[in-house]
Amino acid sequence: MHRPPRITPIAINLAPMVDVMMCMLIFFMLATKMVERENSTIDLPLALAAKEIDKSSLGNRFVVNVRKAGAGVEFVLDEMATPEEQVRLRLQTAIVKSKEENLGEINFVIRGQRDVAYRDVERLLKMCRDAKIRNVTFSALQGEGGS
Amino acid sequence: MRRREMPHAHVDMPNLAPMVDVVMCILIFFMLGTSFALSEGALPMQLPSQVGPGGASVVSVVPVVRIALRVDPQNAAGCRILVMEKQLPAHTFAALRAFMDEKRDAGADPTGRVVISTEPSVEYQNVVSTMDACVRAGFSNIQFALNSGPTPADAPEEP
Repeated sequence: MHRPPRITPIAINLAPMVDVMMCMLIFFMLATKMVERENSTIDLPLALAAKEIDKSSLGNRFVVNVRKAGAGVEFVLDEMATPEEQVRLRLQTAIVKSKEENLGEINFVIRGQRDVAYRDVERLLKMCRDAKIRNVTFSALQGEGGS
Repeated sequence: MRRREMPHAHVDMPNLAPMVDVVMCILIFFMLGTSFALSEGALPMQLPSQVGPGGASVVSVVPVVRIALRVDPQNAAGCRILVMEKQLPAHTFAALRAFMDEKRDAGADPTGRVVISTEPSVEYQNVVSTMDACVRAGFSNIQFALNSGPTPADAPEEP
């Protein structure tokens, strides 16, 4: 007697796909640095002498971003546009905290957009002078800038 | 005669579908969350201390080199570079670097103070390029002469 052919369910072999996805997942997990909220995306100035440094080696750092906003500039702390007086207050608070918790001298890191006027960076330098902060670091990308 | 068939040997396959779902979600999260960071460098400097040890008054030290940046839109660099109040033959940062190299070769102390004074309207990139030229020539003690008085955010542009 002739029997009808047996219907075999077709199963897609997922193993190669899982292999590839796992590889991609591991790659992205290793490549991802969880967002450091102190830094916003800024066209930093270029400098060949800019040393690539480990951020932890900067010690107790206070990072201020200076970026263009409309006709003027804005200071950005922790991804938030912050008025100059607020920056000053936050700096004072950081100094007090640093003294109380013995965190060491504050390193004031300026991440300025390359096409802002020096006057806006100078406002921060004056803030440092008034707060008696001596360590100032300018963030820059490695490359040749200026002509 | 009817042949008795052997039972089929079933290969037990784990169901991968839920795992694929989860891995896909995680993968998409990391793909969207990743931003490849450009390597960021730093140019460190120190501001002069306001008072000496024990609260003594500030001692002024004559700088090894004084560099001034003045706004000049007609220049390719966007500013004029003056070194010790004299204009460089070419207003480029390469010329400044060459000058600093000469100065160092002539015996200037590379740990000596280099003071940069800048007009408020000069572009920040030019200030960093000036620092860059000094650092590459071996001068690391760079300081800024701050313009006196407050620097208002809306100060008028210099002509």
